[in-house]
Amino acid sequence: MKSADEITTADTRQEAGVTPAAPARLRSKRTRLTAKWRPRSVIFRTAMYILLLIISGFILLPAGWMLTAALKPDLAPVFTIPTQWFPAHYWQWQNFGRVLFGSLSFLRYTVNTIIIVVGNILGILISCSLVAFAFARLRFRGSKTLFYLVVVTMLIPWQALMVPQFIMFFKLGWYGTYLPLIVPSFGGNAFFIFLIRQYMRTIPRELDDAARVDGLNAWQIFWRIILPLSTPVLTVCAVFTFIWSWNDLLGPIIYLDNQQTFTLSVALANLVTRAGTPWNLLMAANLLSMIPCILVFFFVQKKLIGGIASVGLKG
Amino acid sequence: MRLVLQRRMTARFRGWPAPDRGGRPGPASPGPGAGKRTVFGRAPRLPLSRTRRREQRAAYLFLSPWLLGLLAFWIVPIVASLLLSFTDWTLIFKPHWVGLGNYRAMASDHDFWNSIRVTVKYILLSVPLYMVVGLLLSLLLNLKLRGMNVFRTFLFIPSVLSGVAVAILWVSLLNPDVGPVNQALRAIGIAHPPRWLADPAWAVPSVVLMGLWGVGGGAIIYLAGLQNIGAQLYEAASLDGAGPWQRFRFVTFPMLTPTLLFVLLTSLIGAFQVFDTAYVLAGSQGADGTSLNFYLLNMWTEAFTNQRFGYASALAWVMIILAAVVILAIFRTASRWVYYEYDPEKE
Amino acid sequence: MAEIVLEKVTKVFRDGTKAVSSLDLEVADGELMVLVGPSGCGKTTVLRMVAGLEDVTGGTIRIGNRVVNDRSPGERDVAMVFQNYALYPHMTVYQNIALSLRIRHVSRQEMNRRVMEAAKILGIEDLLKRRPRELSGGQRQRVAMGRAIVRHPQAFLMDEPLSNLDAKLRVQMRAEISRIQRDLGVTSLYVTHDQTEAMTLGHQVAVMRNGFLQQVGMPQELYRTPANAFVGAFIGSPAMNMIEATLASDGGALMVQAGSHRLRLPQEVQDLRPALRDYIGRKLAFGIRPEDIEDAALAADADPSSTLHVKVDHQEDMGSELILYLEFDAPPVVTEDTRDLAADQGTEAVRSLEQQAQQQRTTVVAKVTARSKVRPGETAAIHADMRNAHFFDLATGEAIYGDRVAVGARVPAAEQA
Repeated sequence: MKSADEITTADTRQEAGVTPAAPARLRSKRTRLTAKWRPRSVIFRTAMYILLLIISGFILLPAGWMLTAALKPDLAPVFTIPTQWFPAHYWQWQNFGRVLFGSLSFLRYTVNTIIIVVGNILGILISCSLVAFAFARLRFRGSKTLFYLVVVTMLIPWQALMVPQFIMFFKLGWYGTYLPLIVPSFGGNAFFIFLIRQYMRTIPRELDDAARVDGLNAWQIFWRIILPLSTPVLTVCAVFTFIWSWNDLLGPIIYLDNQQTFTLSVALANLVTRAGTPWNLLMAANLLSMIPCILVFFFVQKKLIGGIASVGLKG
Repeated sequence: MRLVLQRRMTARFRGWPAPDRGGRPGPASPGPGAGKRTVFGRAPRLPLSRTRRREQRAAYLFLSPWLLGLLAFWIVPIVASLLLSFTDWTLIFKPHWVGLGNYRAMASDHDFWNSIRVTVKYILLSVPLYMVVGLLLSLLLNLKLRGMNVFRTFLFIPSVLSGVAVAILWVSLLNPDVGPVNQALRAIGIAHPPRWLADPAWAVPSVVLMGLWGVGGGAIIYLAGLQNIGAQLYEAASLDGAGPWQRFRFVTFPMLTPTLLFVLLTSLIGAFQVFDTAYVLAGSQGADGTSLNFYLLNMWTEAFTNQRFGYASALAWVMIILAAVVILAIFRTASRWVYYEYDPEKE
Repeated sequence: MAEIVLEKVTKVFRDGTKAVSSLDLEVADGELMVLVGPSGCGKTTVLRMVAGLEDVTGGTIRIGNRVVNDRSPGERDVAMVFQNYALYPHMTVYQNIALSLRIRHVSRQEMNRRVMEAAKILGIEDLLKRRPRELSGGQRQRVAMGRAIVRHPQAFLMDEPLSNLDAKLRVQMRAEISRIQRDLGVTSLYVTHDQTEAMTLGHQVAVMRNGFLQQVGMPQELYRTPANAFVGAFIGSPAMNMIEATLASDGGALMVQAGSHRLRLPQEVQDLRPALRDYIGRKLAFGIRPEDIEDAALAADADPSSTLHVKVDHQEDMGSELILYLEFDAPPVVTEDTRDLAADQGTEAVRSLEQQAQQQRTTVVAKVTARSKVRPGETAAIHADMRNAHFFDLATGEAIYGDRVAVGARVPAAEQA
């Protein structure tokens, strides 16, 4: 007679006559069913791999073509029949150098872009972390209403404000400078505020209590406790800001008039419309402009995908 | 005074003499009815204590950058934008009031209607396509195959690239005569492949095709949604005898509907914000630019090329209203097809 | 002087729940006061109010003779040890302990000296460079205490610091906390739901329930002379048995009639509880602790007037003692108190209580020596030590003593007006 603890599900199933008690060995193979299922059939698996390879091809081949074109010397035709998808004969790596330092002076545009991007990242991190902290940790009258306001601003597309903002910046004399492109990020961004606040809420409140008893005021709690513990989400925000700001076209196009101050996106866009641009150099420049974003992405890919995931579900 | 009052009131509420002998053993625990601890419905709003006031001041200090930004970059521009939409202004002269003139002009503006047509065509083509492909791709990426992480990474890369970069690349690829895409099409037997950007009918589809290159981004969002579906639901379904397709239909898809809603909304709003690609492609086409005159591009042209700020503001407001209508419509119908998260393991 | 004095302290939350009702409590300088009660009784709220983490709705809190209601936690010169330790995960143990000193701009040497001193007291000198995630539960607990000690505060506040430790470690740490508190002589307010901790740690114990203070006094007083049925049943493990009984007079002596059993009250009990005279012929709650019931064959002072013959339902052999479950044919005491206490143990306990009430029988728990030969299924001769019998009014739950205030309860100075 087994005691209560010894009777297992196997026994009860046996008694109920449903299934014979499966020996432990077999039991371990039964995996939990999830949306992710391990396909057993080999045919199926190979088919899926092939499909994945085709799709990856769709992604990589254009990139490969671009690299090929970028490496061609000036006189070689960029468009060939049949298409060359991968660099074969020509390996003119100096094209990249020419793009950066030559008459196209892409180095300058890169530096300009970096200035703007760094400015934006600073602005976003500083302002959004401060605001998110207030919503996540401090109790004050009107916090609910103000937070709804944050959510509302997330829904309004920025383009709707494009014209009046331009007029305002123009009147301020900021036209032609980088100020209109950097200063607004010091006012925060609803999306990041939301993201950081959600993250901060997962930090145990007991830490705040302990800090308060230790004698820390609100700023010190923010600076010494909460902010250091929020580095994951801040990294995600920084990366998002980097990518968005690096690729931004509309902003620079509106506010920059002097070619010396152009960013990469503007310069590239102009290259395309200008007649007589050598295609190989264009491709080289294009490729160069893509590299930082790809590098940044590789650097934080796990956190990035996690960050998007947590947002995607809040929808 | 208030405290005495409170105590007397609570005592009367419980029908028990005010229990103020707390230190001694005595009738400290009131009899029946003591379980109810609620005093009145809601505690009255007392004036804030000194510490609370300090916290409130600190909070507003923390919020100040956002509050200032809100005022300067949101509230003022929105109000200004509304007012501007009723004026005619070219920045050099003073704005002068035209009432609904801009809106009336819109009704007969070819460019406006063209931009609406282009944008709607884009929406109708891209939104369903991206959602379906994205979903399928995410199902594929969800399989437990080796090296899946590598694939996911690759597929995601195009989403981090700029619209300009993508446009430049694809402008070359889609070159009707010598571009790789058409060469490949000819190689598999299509004698007269579309002329892509050179052909007005194929212009918008070209943009849709370019966007397909970056569909990995959306797939990742679906992927996150998929991984959030509780395993128990699948187990229950499979115990009920459901096969893979049925599991998809009755478990996966319903549980993904919140994610789908999110993607649907963002795609629709995003369609109105297509600019980079449009700008680059329209520029590269030369004279035949109207087939890619997306809404935002049109608005930008009116504002900065034609210097019609009032009219552009009116266009902006039309966009806001359209977006709002669409969002509301979707939210209204959403409750019918969106199942909110129910994770049995969390219950 | 660092006493903690709570005067008519009340706490009402935003949604209207009254967590603490007009609490008067005084912790003398250097004393360890344990605040104990079931979950939800308000004890943690009281602690947090003393710490400054919650606002006080009514009443005053004084620490070291200064009213601190309006002061922020940092200004109150108290230190707190949390249930989940609340160590800063991104800082080393040294930095965790030293943070409060850094904030106050204490000099580097002084800071170092104090941290090392605290580390030595707690035996954590070689953990200083580690991070909290690398530490075990007991070590984290020590670091949390180190953080509190290093400030040399006026008072220690401890919020169930041992509840996350396993049983053995808990006993060890209990002794350490007691030792440290004694050595440092810091006034301490200690909150727990575990009455064993309360009994072993506290110089004074205060029992709370539903926001009200039930009784305050030395642990032994609460054990021997509880002020009401709640305290009687809450203190002591296993809990006191509560049986409905009637009081009868037989000549000059008082007899307790519980079901079919008749027990004689010794004179000393009648002297201690003169008010019992008013209950002759009436029903009241008769409480007897499991440890006061013994196997009649092995009891030194068994006599027929206090011996019962009861059927043994089942038993649990603990090795060191034997727990017997006896069937009494008297109904159990079912009041709000007993129901609340049962609810604390789970829905099963509540159901069992109601079942017993329905069937007019009580399962009485007895703790007898391990040498007893009593076996389940038998009718055993059981001796109840009536010198430790407790009596409570069925309606109010109050203990029946007399017009004398129960021995030992300390009346705070503020109340004596």
